[in-house]
Amino acid sequence: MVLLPHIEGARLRPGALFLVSALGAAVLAGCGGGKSASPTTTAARPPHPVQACPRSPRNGAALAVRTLYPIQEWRLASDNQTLVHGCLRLNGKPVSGARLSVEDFELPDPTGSDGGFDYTLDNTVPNRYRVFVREVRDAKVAGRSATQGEQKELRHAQSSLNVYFELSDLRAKARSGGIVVSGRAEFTNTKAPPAVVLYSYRLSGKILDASGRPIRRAVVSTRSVDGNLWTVSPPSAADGSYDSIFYPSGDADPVGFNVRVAVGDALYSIRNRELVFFPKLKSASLDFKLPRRGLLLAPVDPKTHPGAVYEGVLIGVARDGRPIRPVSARWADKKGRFEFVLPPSARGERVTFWESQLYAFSRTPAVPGEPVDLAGYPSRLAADVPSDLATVRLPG
Amino acid sequence: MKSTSPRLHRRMYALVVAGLVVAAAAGTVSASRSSHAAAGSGNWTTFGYSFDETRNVPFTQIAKSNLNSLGRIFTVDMHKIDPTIPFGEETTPLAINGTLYVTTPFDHVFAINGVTGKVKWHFKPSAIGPFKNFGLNTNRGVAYGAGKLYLLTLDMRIISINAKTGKLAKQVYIYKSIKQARPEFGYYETMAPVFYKNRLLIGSSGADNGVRGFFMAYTPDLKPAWSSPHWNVPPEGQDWRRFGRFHGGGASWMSPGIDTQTDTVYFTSSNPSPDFFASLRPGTNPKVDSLIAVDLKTGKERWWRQQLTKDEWDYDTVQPPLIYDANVKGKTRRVVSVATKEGVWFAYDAKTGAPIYERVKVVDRVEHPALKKGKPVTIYPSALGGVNYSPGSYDPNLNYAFEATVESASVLIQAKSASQVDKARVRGDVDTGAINGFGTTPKGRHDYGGVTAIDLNTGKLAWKTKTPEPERGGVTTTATGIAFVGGGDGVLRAFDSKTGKLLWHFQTGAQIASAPTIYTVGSKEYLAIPIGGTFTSSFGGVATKLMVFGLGGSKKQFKQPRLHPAGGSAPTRQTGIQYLTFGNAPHTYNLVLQAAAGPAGGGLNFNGFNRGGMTVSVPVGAKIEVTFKNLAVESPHSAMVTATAAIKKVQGQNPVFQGSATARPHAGITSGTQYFSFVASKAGKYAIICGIAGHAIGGQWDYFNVTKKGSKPTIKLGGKTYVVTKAGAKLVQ
Repeated sequence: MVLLPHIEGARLRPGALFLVSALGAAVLAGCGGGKSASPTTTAARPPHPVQACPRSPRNGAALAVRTLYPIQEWRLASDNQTLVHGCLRLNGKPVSGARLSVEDFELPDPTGSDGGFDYTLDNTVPNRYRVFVREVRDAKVAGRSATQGEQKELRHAQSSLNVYFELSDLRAKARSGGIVVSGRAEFTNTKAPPAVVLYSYRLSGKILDASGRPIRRAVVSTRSVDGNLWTVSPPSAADGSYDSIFYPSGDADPVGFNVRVAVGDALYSIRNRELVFFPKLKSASLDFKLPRRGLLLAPVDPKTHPGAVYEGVLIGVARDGRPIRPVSARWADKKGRFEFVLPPSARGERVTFWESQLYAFSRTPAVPGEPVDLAGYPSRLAADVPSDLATVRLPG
Repeated sequence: MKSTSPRLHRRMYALVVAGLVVAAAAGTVSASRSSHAAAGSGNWTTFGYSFDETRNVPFTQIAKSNLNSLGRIFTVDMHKIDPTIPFGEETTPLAINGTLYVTTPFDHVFAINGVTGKVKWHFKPSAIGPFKNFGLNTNRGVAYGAGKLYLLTLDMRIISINAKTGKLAKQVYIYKSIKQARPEFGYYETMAPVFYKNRLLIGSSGADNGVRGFFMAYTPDLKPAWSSPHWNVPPEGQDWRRFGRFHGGGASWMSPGIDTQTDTVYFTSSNPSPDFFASLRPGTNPKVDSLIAVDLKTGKERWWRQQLTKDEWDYDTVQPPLIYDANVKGKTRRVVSVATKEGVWFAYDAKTGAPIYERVKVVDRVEHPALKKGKPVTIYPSALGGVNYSPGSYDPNLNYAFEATVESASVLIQAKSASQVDKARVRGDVDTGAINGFGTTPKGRHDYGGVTAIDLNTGKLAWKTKTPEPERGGVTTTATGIAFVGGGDGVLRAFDSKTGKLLWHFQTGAQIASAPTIYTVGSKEYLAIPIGGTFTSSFGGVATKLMVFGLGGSKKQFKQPRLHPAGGSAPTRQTGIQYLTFGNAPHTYNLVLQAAAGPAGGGLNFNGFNRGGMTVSVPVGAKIEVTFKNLAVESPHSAMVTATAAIKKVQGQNPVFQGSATARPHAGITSGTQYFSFVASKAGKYAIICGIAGHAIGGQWDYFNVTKKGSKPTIKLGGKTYVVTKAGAKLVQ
């Protein structure tokens, strides 16, 4: 066993076999490299509410705010939110009168005389929220109006709030095929996150016009015969491809669905056929060619393929903001324990952990504790994926 | 629920009301009409007239003394203007400065001159092609504020429209701020939002699909006004939602009420899911079937009260809450009241939530025994009954609250096990936990309606009256002591608010499932009522019109619409032996075929049986009189007795006997009833199929045997064979 030489942001549990240096979130979040105001081994579980602003760099604009918020299990006798307190500073001086946003939510009050702002954060579901400066026209730096240059600098200040399942018992072991990383994800009450589960099936294909040119922004919808279940695909891409969830479930096999293709207000249906029949509980592909005239499509039959869409928490590491594709990975088991194997090229790298509430297509059944189909492994981190959750230097 | 295809109907019902509000006027209200945004203006600017949702107008021109001169001024037929608009109406129009703003199914909005009926503009959301492939189409109204109308769409958009021009101002998808709030996950919008003090207040539908119910506020430019929604139930996989897959509920699908004195928003939350299988969601499921009070500015919860714990009958608290000063046992108290689908009414202290009156029965029958696994249980009211989405009213002069009610019943058969409920359960599908959807109407049952007045001083009923069909629209009262209510029989009625005496009535010609809007233009008072109803409102969904009344209008009434057949809906699967009965003439038999009766075959079934699960046998020479009903509403079906080889054909099947099919069997009907008769002239083994392309080969077929002369008629249902006699049917194996 090789101990992880340096882990930041993870929670130290009694009996853990590695060294931990749990530095504050501000360090990880790009507020400038200062140390956390609460350098404890449970730094990732801040007191509630957090009253003080983390330190920020002496130079430049900074949104100093704690970035890590472990998920608390929902409680009835709680508003299930935590108060976030942060500060906007420029060259270490407080900036008042600036308007901030958290995603699309515009904080109702401008920053105070100490540069401070408050936000109530839902800390019961995983998410990453971007915090940024929206308006600085009335901003003052240490009590005086910000210059145009300062305003420009302030507009670039941003940070993030990451709500995530706490990581514990993190371990790394070098072996010939790479580096085995393992650990456990958990609520603050140590319960395991919800396990991976079958979420839906997949319907995909291409939509072309009569000349074979791809149709953009077309929508494929399915509706069960009883009218109780329907799905709508995202608009088709420039190459005419669409990718949708759908649910060929029910008592019948095959299962009949009303399938339609909408382009704007025009709705195409299938000629001489009320329903398209899909083999039960299978993903399928279905291509369409729109007619030159009218709204009737030529009959189509689905082609099935193995796999389904699964929902689960996937944990991985990133280097320079890009996920490192593992050699293999396992879904967290019912106790929240996960494991993945990084390629040998990752040896000695400084990497950061991320967690994704993933809705991933998997060719094989996704089962807690069993392998992840890497075909659906993310090649980039979506904006809402909690990341920079802990920093480690992998064994060399 | 009245007939079958309950899942679809349920979704249609799960919607409701909404309100509009004049935002700019907040804070300038008069003391006497404390929460109406434009008191004295003659406008109706929010769903419930005033933000307190009391639907009590101060106008006095229409009075008891002159009701005999109240008549129709004009009608606008929105479907005729745009035939792509489906039939049906559940909306509440707004009336602002002489213009009516009316929504229709598929989320169209019309601006109509409130005096002449001339259409000023017509707004249709972009890219609504997919709506035609949805299972519902309802919209209940728009909100008004800052010169804009606010519309929620089936596919989870918020749209703002320039009220003057009808041009799109902005639209956003709700899932941009609430990630999971997507239609494919079971969320959809039908409610009328409310706009007050620069807050656009919305919830959503979808509880029966297992969504996580929420309530949220947006700014006039459609950005989140609260840091996060008020979530009514835990996240998926947490607390009581840990025990099953994709179960949830607690949706807020009707407009909120607002106490403008305290800036408190009151909204309701609906049933948990699975609706009829409580053991998959153990505990009391707090904050579902509840009234919830939050701070307008922040969304922070102030208090909540649950009207029904351990709900396994789908008894939402859903109607918009009413807020008012009432005389309670001689003292003035600030009250918030609400009635529920269970058919009971509650009043609470508006500030603290402390109960004042609880479980006041406003329907005739409230009986809902515990459900039994795999066994039929009859409940009163049904999941579509009691006080559904229909808004109530409060008359401060009388100190009475009013409710429009649905007196209904249903037979529910709970699933046999949790694994049966969760088998192949996927996100977004309807999640009832019963094997017969939302239940079926007991044999011979005919649902009806009523209007109830409650005396706030005593908490007892002041009066109660019956109407022939369920009241789904709601009540609007006037300062002149009149309560206007539109019924499922198409009749707009005026009751004496004090006594319940029927003072006036007018047959509009189409079912009514909306509450009246009353407004003035100049010196004249008008009453606007959308007509058309829904399929669940006494077989409505037959028109999409707006009818406007005033003194001096035409008294010519219209023909009564076709109503729900007497005797209730067709027999349930459990009384399936009723499908084949002796006819009135010798050698004649009545056969009932219901298409899409429950979930079997994904709806591709007759009487709940598919792929040969039902066999009807009659002697050769018998005359068969068939009553065919399509219960699917949105999908066409037909019936045909044909050769057994036809079950393997995709399309193009033909009747084997002369007349042994419904009219146009390859096109079918999307709702309603058809009749056909034929003589089974040749012995043999035949099939009953649906003639719609793909349905028979998809499993919608059963057997029809013509046996030797003199043999007894039988019907085999799922392995049990019954011999049919004049006295009834007898199980023989």
